[in-house]
Amino acid sequence: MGAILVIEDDEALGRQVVQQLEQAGLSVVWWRKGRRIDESDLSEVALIVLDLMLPGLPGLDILKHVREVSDVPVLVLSARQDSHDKVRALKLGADDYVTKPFWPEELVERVRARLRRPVLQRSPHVQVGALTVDGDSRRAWFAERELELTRSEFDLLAALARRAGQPVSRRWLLANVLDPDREATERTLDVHVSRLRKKLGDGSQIETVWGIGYRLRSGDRS
Amino acid sequence: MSLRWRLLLTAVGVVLPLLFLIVWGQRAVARRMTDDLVAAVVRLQFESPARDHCEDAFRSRKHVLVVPRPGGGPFRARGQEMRVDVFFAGPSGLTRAADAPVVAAPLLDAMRGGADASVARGQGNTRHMLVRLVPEDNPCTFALAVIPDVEAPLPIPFVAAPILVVLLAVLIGVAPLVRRIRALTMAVRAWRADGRRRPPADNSSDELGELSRAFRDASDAVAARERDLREFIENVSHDLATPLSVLQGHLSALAARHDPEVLRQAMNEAHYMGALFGSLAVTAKLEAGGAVEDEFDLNPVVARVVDRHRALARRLGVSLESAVPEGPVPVSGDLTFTEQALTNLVGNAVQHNREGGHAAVVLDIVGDEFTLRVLDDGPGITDAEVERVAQRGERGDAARSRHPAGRGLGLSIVARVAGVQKWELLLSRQEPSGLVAELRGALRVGHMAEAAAAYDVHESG
Repeated sequence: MGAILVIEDDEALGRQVVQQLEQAGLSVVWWRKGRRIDESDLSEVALIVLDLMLPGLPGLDILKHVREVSDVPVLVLSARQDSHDKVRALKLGADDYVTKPFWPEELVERVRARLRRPVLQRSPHVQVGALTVDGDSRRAWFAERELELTRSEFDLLAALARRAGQPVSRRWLLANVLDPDREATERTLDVHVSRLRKKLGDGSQIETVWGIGYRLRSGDRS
Repeated sequence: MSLRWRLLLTAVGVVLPLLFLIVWGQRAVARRMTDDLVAAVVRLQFESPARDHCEDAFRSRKHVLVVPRPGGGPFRARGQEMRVDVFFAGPSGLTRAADAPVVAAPLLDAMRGGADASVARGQGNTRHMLVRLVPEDNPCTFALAVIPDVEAPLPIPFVAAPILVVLLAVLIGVAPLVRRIRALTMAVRAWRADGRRRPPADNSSDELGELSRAFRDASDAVAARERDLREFIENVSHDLATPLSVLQGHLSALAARHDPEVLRQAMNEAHYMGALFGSLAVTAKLEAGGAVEDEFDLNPVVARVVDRHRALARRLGVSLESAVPEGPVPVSGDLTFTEQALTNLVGNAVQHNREGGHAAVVLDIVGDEFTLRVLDDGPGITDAEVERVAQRGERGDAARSRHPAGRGLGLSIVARVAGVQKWELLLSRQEPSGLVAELRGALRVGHMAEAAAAYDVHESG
């Protein structure tokens, strides 16, 4: 993976940001002034952390230039409470922003979230730990044992597997997975989940998430 | 130009043309009277000689009539007489007299049309009048009178007097108005220099009175706003000073001994101050009516806010989870406002909680609306507090948000942001304990298809 390019003029904040990202196991390059980024340099950059208020070339100009030549994720650091600036940065192609003041964990979290992208698994074939779900043939295996699932149970499992590691709300499951005419009640959903858990056996990866709904545990918890 | 001069010039501008119109009308009437008089005298003098003695000697010479000038009036010198030369002409307009002027064709045309007398402009300063005396087969059919057109000079007093009167009236009428306007200006200037000197209200019922009352109302409104702001700043500085003192205490304790608990508390204070700063900026913008309408996706806003609170939640031992729909949730509103509102809800849910407690953020799409719920199983809030939050605008008191019992500024900002963006804020108690705060609003219409398409992907895949 390429390095994280940090463009931040404030000495103290820049040093902190670099330190935090390095502690998170990322390699970091730090620029203290705004300037144009060569296309060749961009190939070695995995993500740019960009301050908007910079001496030299302003942050928004750097962003515009980067977007002309590359899709590298850009995370904007902004001290401003100004919505226009943020929306402008997003419209110019920034992927995300962090408003100062921020906690080190927050920044690392946002950088990681960007590096993980794309999160959504659109392919019909999903593998989560020992669980395999194949949307094309509508079959699922757990620890190489094929699961016998009803239509609703399969849809439920597939929906959770597509977003493994993330909670999915009960409302979403009711509206998008269960048949709204026949069985879309909270109780039916709980019944389906409990049956699914039984079929998955002791190593069931389906967790109840307080206040939200359910989550399929993935290997790497996010 | 001052008001006084402007009014004076306007008055002169109106009076002068009016005077000229009167003079012109008067002169036209006087001319008409002269003509009628001359025609009558000519007929009286020459009708029977023209009929009975129209021989060469009679019609070859010029006859002179002395006619008194009619009327008086300012434009005619009273009592003056004028000399009118009279010549005789046949039906074709031919005259015998050597010094007779040529009869103008329009005069003859008018007589042939059946008129008894007609007048036209003559040479020099004269008018020519043709008067029918006898039937047309006579060489003395018409008398041609040459009337001297002598006008009296423009009577200066007649013009000057009304102008002077009008100017005087304007000056007298305007003086008190100017005085009142000046007083009002001075009062407003004094108020600008010193906000405590309220401009006095003028009790009169005219427009100036109304203006002075409007100024007074405006000054009262500004004073009220200033008072609110002052109170707000006082409360906020109090609220900022407290955690800052605590933070300083923690830092000096940390300098003496490395205590993780002290460090944890210090970080919480810093987090609280950070949140307060955000609320302050948003409150200032809300007060200024500075909402910016934009379209954005709620999904990343939820992710950002939840990520921001993860560290705090971990430190406090509170589980913080969130769920969003797979596709985008497009809304229109102010991004900063929305993010701050959600920050306040999530901050409250995490901070007003206990170790082992839960906080959850759930974004859903229901029909053509989104619902954004923030739930916790902390102590919750009382109905009285819910009531207070619903009453927006109690800004001063709301700043006291620090104590667990009062989530004042935080929730009142959420309520105001919801109001500005035409969203609904519903607060309810969670059983057995805790709070559910739900924001509900319209999805951005233009993007409904896009959002629906995102769901289709999932339903088929």
